[in-house]
Amino acid sequence: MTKSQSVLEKTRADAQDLHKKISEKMEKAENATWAEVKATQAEVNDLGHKMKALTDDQADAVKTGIKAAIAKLDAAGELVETKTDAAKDGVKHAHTAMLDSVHKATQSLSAAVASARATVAHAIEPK
Amino acid sequence: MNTYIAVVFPSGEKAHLALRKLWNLDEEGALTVHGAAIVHRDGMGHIRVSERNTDLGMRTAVGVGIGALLGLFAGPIGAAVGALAGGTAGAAADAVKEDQRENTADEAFFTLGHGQSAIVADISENLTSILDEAMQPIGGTVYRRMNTATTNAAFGPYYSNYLYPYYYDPKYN
Repeated sequence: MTKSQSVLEKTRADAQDLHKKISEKMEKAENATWAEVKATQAEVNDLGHKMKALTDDQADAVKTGIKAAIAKLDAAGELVETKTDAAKDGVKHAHTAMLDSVHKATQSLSAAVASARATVAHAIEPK
Repeated sequence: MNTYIAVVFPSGEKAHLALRKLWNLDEEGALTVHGAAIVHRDGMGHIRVSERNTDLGMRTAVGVGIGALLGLFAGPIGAAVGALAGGTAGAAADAVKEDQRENTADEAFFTLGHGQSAIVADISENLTSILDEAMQPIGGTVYRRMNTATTNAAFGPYYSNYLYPYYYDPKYN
């Protein structure tokens, strides 16, 4: 496995873990606070930064999906508390946006992983 | 090759075992799983998704998704029935089954019998034999449908909310 492929696989695993974490937070959203949302947003933004760093190495077919996912991560990571919402609704909205953006991130990363694995398989297959 | 797969098993336990095996194959790099879930049809004919315990509030999307997914596997007319059936997954599946009976030319790809469970997944695979050989000892029958613009359009946006992008312990109830 090349270094760029292992970075890609690791980033995908990070995205999957973050997806699980946000899903679990949504279960107890009744008691969640904006402080917790902000902590998760930091992880969402961190994932976005990691994905930006590996975008250039990807095939054109998957690059578009990764860029779209990064845009969603950026948007979810910038959501701020609105005083017009009930606190509970605002937290739920933020969690939903983060889960959706991380879901898109896992999908685009798994597409990139599949593309990288296909390239390796093609390179070693008997001629 | 990007494919939607359905692997049908006689029981939920075997489907669970196979779900773990599917993700193991992903970890080994033998294929790539973009998302997967287990569906079960009970003795009354109702179809349910075996969800994670933590996924409260996602059930409406899941209901629409399973109808659409079963419709996708049944063909274009079934897909429309599934998508229109809203959150009533069991009803959607029954409607699709009825559609299959009335449209024999539109060969049914995937039928879930009473008491059976299936893994439904979106995967990329270079060799179909890898999945086939992994599922066969567990008693699974593998069905495939190419992931194309047409099949994606038929399934709509729901599958992205419905297939889990990682291994999960399914809940049976």
